[in-house]
Amino acid sequence: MSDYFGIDLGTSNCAIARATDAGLLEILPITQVINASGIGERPLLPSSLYIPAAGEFPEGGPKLPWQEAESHWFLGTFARDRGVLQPDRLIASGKSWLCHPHADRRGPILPWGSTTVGKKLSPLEVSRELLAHLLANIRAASPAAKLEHAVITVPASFDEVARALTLEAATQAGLGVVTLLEEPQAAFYAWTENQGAEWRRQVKSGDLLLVCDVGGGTADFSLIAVTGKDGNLALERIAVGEHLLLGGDNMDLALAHAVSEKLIAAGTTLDEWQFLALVHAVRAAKEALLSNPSLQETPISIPSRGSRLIASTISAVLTRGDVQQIAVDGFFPIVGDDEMPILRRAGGLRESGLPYAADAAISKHLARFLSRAKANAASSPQLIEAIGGSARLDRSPLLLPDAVLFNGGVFNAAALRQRVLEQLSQWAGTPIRELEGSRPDHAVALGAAAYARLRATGEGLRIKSGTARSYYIGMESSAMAVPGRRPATKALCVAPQGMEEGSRLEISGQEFFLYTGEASEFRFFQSEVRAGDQAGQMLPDAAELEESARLQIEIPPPAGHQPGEEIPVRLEARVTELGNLELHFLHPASGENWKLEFNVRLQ
Amino acid sequence: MKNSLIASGAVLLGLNAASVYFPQQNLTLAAQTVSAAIGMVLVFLAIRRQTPRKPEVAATSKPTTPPPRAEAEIVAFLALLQEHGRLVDFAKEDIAAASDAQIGSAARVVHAGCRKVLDEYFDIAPLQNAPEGSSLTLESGYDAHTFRLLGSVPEHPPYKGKLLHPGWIAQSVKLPRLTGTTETRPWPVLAPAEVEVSGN
Repeated sequence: MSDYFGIDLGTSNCAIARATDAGLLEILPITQVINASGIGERPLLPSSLYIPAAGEFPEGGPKLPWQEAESHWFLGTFARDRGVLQPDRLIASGKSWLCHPHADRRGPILPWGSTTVGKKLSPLEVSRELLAHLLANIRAASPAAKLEHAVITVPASFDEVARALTLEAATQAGLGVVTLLEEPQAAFYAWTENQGAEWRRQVKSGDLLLVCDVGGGTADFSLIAVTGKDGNLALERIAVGEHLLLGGDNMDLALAHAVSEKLIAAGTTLDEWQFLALVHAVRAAKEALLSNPSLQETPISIPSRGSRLIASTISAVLTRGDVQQIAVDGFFPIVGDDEMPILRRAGGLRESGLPYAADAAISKHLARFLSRAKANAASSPQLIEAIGGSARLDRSPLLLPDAVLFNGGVFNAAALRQRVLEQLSQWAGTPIRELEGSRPDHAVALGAAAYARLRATGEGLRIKSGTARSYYIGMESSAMAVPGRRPATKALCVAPQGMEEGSRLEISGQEFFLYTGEASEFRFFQSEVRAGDQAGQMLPDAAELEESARLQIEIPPPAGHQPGEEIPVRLEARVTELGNLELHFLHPASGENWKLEFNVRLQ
Repeated sequence: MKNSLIASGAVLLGLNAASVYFPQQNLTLAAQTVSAAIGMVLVFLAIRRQTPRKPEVAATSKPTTPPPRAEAEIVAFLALLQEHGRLVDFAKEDIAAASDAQIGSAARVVHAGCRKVLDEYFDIAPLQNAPEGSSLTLESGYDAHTFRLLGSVPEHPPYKGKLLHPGWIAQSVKLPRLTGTTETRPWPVLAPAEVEVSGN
């Protein structure tokens, strides 16, 4: 009998689930440091890493059962709670940095902007530490487990670089060979697992399903097409959204500011610590108001940090109006199908740091996702077939789903699920239904474990999902020089959208030359909306694509060739069994094969 | 002894649970929140005593520090109630001159925090599912540990009566395990002094 593990490496929290051959599917409690003096088990591990000051724990601090040496940092509940008081020493969103294209993801940059921490960590190291901690828990729960079965989830919006870095972190953590799964797909697997045979009654061939996942700090969308005939359903993930740093935490912060402003108007100003306490209190009050429609307001108490609790606690009130206006209408306004989010703040300079969404309206981000999904589908005959023909494209400027599966803590509130359905129904002009029976809190880990079992046993329905984007490499164009004009960089499509695991594609009929022995620059591009592009297709101008990475590198000339010589090569794209995208430059004469992984390292 | 501890703790907790949901009674809220605290500690004490002791470390094994004492664990639990529910602050503060509104506001902090601790570390359920005020009969052989009889009780069951309080039971306890074995104190501090650092 085997155990299969699913790891939800979340932005705010991590979770582990186990599936067994006997049909069991459960969340494993995670042993972690709970406070300055003790350890314990929790269903979730907050994805927080706290780096203590040198003298903070003269005796080393709490130690985990598997830990031998003193640790230089803490993870989990204690890290999160302590880090609130010392934000300069807290790394709270390592995962968002892992997919930040402009950050040095292997460099010691976290905690970002900290002036007090001596030895900082890289985003890659933070993921490695979290995974190592989760692995220690898996080993404790199931000492004989074969970990090739493990599945780690990533946001659907993670690009290939962030995916490759996640795999690398897993290898470094000792997890060995793991498989990646997109979080919205994991939520879907958890739902089918939870529903048993019943789920097939909630969907039918020709349906298009939206997985709408809004967690604490991120929003992630995917579209899954239901195809097949004669009762043999097939599923295909046909679109993924962009990485959006926007979620429930933003709502809590917005509500806390609103309450704080009311207090200021009444003559009470909160200090920084009281404001933190307010954010906590507002979260609970918001949940109470959203889950109980008869409640008109919730009193809030804001303690100070001093010992005089009764004398210095401040009273405030969060009203239904606040929640409706800020959380519901602010984050989920009912908008037209042409209202797109503001993408950049006005002004030429942006503070460095994480690229938080500039527009809080999740409905507008959803409109943008569905509009890009439509453009993407329209570019590919296969996708048009998958969505049941072009009729769906003609109905609306958006590619509208028939049903929605909700995931993420935000959608514990029925009022917010209702709001999204209302919005979609209004765009569609017809009711959009909810796939019932979702479990917003633990679905991703459970779905990952169920998928790990499904992969190993081959029993069950898998979602067909190749690469979510198409990938391009920049090409110097061989145009004639024109004074005052820089030739446009062309882009060669090396991996079309939808390439599946374990497949390879050679770009045939074209010869390319590689400069060796001198520094040259490679530019990589990607697109979420060009499903129609084929491998080997040359786009005249890369400007319409999203640049994902640049690499400066000197490739040594193969034996018998001089530095500076141009070497004729063939190009081949491969997607490994793990879902890692690689580009190979093959030089048949010398037998050389340069592999370029999309985490951009030349080996 | 320990059963009466559990029962009295449970009763005190129950009193509090009832009062917190009837804000119009907040005249006595403070007293009841304090009673809840004492109740929690009593329940906790009793549970600790019921857990079987770990076997003594064999003399031949390498010398380690002695296992954390029960007192240290109780102090650590009280520290949790202080950290999340400000319980020590609340009980130690002089409330003679405070208004009910002030006390009520502070009680929300205590309530939210202590409840969080209870929910996180215990799985607490009522002992009896029948509503308060309903009639019940205790036949001979009833579990005497889970009932406390009030009024004029005959020598032998069956006992007919009215349920005043359904009781509580902790179905599981998962308190943090102390790891600081090299502490210079016999038990952890209840709450460290807090210093806002402004530079050096």
